[in-house]
Amino acid sequence: MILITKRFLLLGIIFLLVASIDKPLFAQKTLNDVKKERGLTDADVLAAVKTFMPSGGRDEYLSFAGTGNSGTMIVYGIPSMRIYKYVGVFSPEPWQGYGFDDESSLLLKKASLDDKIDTYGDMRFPALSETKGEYDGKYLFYSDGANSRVAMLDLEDFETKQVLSNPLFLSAYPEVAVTPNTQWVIQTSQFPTTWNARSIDLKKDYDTKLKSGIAFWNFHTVEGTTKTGHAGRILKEKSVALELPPYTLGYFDVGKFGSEDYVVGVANKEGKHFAYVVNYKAVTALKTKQINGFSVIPLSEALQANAIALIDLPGKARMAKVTPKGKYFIVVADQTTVFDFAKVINAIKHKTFIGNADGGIPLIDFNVVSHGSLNFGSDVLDVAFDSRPNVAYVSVHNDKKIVRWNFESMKKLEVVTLDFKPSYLMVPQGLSATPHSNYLTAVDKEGLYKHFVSVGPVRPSFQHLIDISGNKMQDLYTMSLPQCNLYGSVSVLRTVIKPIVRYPTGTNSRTGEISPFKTVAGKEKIERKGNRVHIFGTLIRSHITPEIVEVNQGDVVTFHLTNLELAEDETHGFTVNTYGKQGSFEPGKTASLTFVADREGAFPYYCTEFCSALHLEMEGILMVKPKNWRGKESGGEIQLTMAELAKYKQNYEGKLKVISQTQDVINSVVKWLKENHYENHPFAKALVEDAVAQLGKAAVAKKNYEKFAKEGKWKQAFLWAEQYFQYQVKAADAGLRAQKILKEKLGSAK
Amino acid sequence: MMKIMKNFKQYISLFLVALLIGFTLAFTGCGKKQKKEAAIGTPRGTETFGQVVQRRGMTADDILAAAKTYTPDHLQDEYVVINSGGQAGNLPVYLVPSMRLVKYAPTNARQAYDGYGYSTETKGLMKTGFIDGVEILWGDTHHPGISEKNGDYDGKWLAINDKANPRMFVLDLKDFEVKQVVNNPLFRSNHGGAFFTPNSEYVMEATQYPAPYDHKYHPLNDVNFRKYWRGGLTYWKFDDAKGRIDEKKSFTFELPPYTQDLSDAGKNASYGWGFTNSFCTEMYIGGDMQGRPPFEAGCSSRDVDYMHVTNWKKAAELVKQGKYKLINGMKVIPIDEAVKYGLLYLIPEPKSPHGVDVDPTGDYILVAGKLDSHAWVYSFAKIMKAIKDKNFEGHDSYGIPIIALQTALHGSVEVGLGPLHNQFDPKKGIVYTSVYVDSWTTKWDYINLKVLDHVSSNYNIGHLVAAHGDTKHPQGKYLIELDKLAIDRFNPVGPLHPQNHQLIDISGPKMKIIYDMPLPMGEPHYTVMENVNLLHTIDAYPVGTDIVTLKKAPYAVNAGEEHIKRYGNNVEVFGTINDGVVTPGNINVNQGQNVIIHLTNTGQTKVDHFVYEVASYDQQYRWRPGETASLEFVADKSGMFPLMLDKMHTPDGRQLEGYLAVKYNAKADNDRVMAFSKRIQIDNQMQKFKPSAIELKNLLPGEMEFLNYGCTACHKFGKDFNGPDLLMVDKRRSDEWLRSWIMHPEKHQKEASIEAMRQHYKLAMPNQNVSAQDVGKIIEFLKAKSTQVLNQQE
Repeated sequence: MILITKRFLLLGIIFLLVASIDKPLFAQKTLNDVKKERGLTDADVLAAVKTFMPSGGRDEYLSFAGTGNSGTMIVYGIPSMRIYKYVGVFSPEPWQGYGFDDESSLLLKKASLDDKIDTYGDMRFPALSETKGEYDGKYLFYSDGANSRVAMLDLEDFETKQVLSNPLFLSAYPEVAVTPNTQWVIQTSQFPTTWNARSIDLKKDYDTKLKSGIAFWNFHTVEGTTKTGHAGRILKEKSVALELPPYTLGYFDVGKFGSEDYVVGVANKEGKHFAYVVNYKAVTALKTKQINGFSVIPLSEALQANAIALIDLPGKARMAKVTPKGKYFIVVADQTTVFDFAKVINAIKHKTFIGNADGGIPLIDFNVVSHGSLNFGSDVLDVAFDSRPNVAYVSVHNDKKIVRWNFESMKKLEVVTLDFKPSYLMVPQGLSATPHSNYLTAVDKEGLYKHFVSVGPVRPSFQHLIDISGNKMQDLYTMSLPQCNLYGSVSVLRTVIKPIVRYPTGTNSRTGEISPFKTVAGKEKIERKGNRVHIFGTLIRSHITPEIVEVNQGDVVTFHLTNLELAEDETHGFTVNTYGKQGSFEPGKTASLTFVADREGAFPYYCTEFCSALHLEMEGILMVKPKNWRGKESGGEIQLTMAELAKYKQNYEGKLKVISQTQDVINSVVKWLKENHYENHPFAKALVEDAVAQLGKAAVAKKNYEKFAKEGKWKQAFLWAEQYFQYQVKAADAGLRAQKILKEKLGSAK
Repeated sequence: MMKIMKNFKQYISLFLVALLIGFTLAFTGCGKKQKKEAAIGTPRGTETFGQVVQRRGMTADDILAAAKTYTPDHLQDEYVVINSGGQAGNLPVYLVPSMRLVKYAPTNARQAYDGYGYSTETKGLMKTGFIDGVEILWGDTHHPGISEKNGDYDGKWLAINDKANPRMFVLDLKDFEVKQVVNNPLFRSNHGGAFFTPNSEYVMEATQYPAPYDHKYHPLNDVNFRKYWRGGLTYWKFDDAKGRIDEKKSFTFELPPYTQDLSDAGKNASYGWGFTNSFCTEMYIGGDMQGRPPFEAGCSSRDVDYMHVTNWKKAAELVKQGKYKLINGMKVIPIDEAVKYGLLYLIPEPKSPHGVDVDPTGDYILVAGKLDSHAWVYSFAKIMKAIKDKNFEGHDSYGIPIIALQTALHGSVEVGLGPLHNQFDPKKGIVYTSVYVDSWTTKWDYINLKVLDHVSSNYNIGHLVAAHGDTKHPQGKYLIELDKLAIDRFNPVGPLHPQNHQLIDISGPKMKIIYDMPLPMGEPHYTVMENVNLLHTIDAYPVGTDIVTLKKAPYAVNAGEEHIKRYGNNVEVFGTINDGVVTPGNINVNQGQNVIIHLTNTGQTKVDHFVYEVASYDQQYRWRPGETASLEFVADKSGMFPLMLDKMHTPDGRQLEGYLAVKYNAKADNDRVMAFSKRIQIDNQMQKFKPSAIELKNLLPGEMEFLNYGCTACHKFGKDFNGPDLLMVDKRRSDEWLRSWIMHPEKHQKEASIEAMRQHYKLAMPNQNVSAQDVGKIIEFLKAKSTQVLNQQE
């Protein structure tokens, strides 16, 4: 602490020196000025530089939050704690077109018991896919506690690829865990229910007719089928569920390295708490029966295979987590207990049981398998691990503290007292075999801050970033997460994830395959079969093809659109006004929007994502003709007068001059880019390629304006020349951006 | 020359700063080499300030920026920024200078976290925004406006438009909740809204894409387009005391079918006037598939577009006198009437403009046209003089007088390629303009017409916002650029990028970017920045409040008075959430009954937020402190459904409050199956669901078709269900018969066995419009599945 202060003093002096030099020149405030003006302490400034992300910088870790009932995933960075993305998982989200375009709507519909979109989920503890117990950065899984579903996201494009209904549980525990090679994605029920869609008399039939269960979703990967070399899917047909007596199930985890065949979790019944241990390797190989179209392993089979046991716990248990090397699992409770996995496995193998619990499940003696217990204080909530050997952290909610301790020696090492009540903890890479050790996040469920600006009764969730790099733990940052009821997160080193920036042209992003509705430039068409109309269209800065579509009232209309852009971040959106549909089309994506054109009239459609200088002009009109329309084919085109024609000729010639001047600008930018070897810089290179592509598209416009000029059709000639100019503007836009990026890169290199 | 010298000096001084930092680092003894990859994740140990700065490669500017934005718990943020969420249909809210997101206030998309669109009350509110009966569950929110008093924000209300579905939303800033949705009965699209007049007399909403007011079909061609298609500008009467739009007292200017864009209301001298810009005054109809160049070419072919100048004050008086035409229930001032009474004028403006912004004095109007490198400054005094002198250069084809550009112009300044929007500084005459193509912000003097400073953005800025930057009293200090592209600024998160909002310190003579904030959901267009001192939010409602009406809910009950009413097919629960416990716990109903659950949350503190939900019924809501709200649904599924309560501000997790026990009823179950079958038919109008190749490979042949046609709603293998057991059905019936039966069940109704089955199951096999190709696959599946199930049973 003293050391830091000294350094600060030294720096302070230097900054004063700097200030005296730079002040007369441009009156830039010094660090001391800012500190004084804002009332920052030295510790604040240290925390600021530890978390602030300079423009263009990359966070060390990407985190994925469990957002509770919001049904939407949040992606944020550590240490800047900035939120990068919300991704629709169990809830529709219009910005992404999720639950609004056909592909994702059908995905969600088929994930419901009744073929209707369940509009929210309750997702609290996500899991990242693993290879040999390490995060591989490929997939992410969530359990929906509310409507009993499971979801898989691909971190190649950060989209939800699968949502599947668990037809048994009705309410699931909102957590998933994966086995060390992601063969199984595990989900449990939370509250017991009947599995046969019948109601019961709770007093009479509770024990006999209510059930709980553990579902083992089979995950299957095919390497090398996508751009980043991975494609995986949950196979419902190969998944199984273990039937359990009516226990209320809680947080669970999977073993590793010696304990990798086991899943452990907490359970309770009538106020009595247990830890459960299931040999899932043995269980998933057992004979199944079909219930509601799902393969179910009867409890009797599991008992016969000696694949399940309970440990009697002395008090209320919060969760069970396995230590990084798989040697122990820790049950967080009023009294936190470390269980020795080897002893547990041994007890099961040798059937060292002390009796049976409800449902005939054998009970293991707590004392036989316990490694030791510690009391950390009032309301201990969660445990997390870091890379220090045998070190764990627990949050003590009521005592407002986090304790660092050693689970091998059972010694408390360090305590940090906080200004808030910590609950759920997360260390980057924390549920993998090798957790990292510089950051710890702690959730604050209350969020009672005297100075935090209030924007109404509905408040965000809060999470603190705690620096655990040194011997002393320090609270660095208070992060707010809106539209989020925050529980756990998982966080992965940024270099482990390799996302794509565009799709191969024509990709249905939900399957990762080329869509049958892929459309390329020049192949746009409108197909009609009876009252079914399919529009195969394309999107590119700054027009939609086709721009005019006419249908009959009552037609079932589908816009199948392909974004032809190759440039990064060049997303287009699409909607037909007042028809309730919206799609997001990232570069290369093909998606479809279907609606019944049940009202007559003129309906504008447009690009909903600001894509270019002429974004507002990226529009079209859907004309809906009434049934048996008997109106007159009124109106027509306006004939040009000779004077107007002459004006167009003049405009055309003027435009050619502008085109030539614009080309000079483009040439100068190109010259600069070449001289500075843009091709060595991927971002600049991609933008230059985009600029070239834009100019390439201009060729057709040029052909047209030359043709019409030859024919003396000056209006058309002028308009096509204008279109040529628009392509030039787009090329210049991309070129200038490339120049800017390159200048910055070269500047920082010097 | 002077400027170059000055730049050079600045460069040198920056260099010195960098050098000094370098020395500092060297002396603090942390010149260690970059840690090896393998060491990532091991404890760094306690670091000094210098070590942190070096490890993170921070410059002097970075350190200053960190100190200017980092806001520890003992400090308060200074400003709140309320953004449009674009196609996310919500309002992202964040704080300045910490740039922390605090809210996504829903406007027109259901949002589970808030419960918006889940309670009967908020569902009802959303329903008022459905158009022509179309269920619209999203929106494209564009331009929020804060209500004003004397030309400054009063912080009471917020209005925002929906471009995709021409509607206006009004929020109460006491609780940041939507209170009103108003549909525009004339428009098919809007864009230029919501702009408050200086005392919140009116909220302006202009069309974007024109459409016929009669909502009828007229063949699309040049002549009809000019005749039937119309733009418009609605002045929604706003009741500032109630915070509601009064539709009956509102009126609309009929406008030519130019594509109108943003607006702003005059202030001080220009009070009583409104300014609305436009593009595509060519009235061009694109049609690339018809051989016409696209809209983007035809809509930008003239050199100028028109700024519309409207006199709302005088118009309001005329409307009061009954001088309007009623169309679709809206009071419309026809173009010729507006011209006759001197309410409407046009002035040429730079091509394809976006922002039209009245300066704090009200004397100048600034327009940024995206296809011109200049920003243009109009003098209100000159405009008034031209009107008074009837000094017009002519009339447009609708007879609207056009004021010559030179007559109205104060001057123009070259600010860069693609100027887009303007925000003002407290210093007189200083404005900031976002420049889209050049990706920078220009600070310039619009009175003396000179550029003062540029700052580069990353990349392509749309709108800008400065603290109170569109009011009579801008507060300066902070400016935010709303970049449209982020490209290389953030950790990659897939093809869909976040937006980038760059915070700029404008307190000194040089603008400095001090924070890059990713905006993670939605695409903000316009935004407002309000001083936190104006906020007057509440934490709780009086017990029993309906948050939409803010009145006492008729269903509110006190603890101890909970009861259940059963009448007709309804089960109505009057319950409470008291001390985190729901009464009543268990609810017993019969399948098919209508269930209404009213709950009153008696909690009154900030942490008394509860989510109550019915598992697998997609029913949930968040009860705010003191709130009474209702869930209403048909108990169409039988079984035991957990009723759960989540105390949101405690870490306790969900508690089981009881069960919704739904007793099986054969008729109701049949209704459910029929509804299922109907949904399947609607699904099949869309493209059929097709899983990825991996999943497909693991399905039995025809299984996908069996699912897609919804056969699972009634049939199982090895078990009777809503329909007969399909196990070995292929042995009982010929392929030919099955094919005919599946495709045309109505043809077989008279067969005795079919008649008997219909009696037994009380359900007829529906015609699911199975195609000839798919029926073969389904029959193949019936055989394969039977074999699989039989093998399993052995």
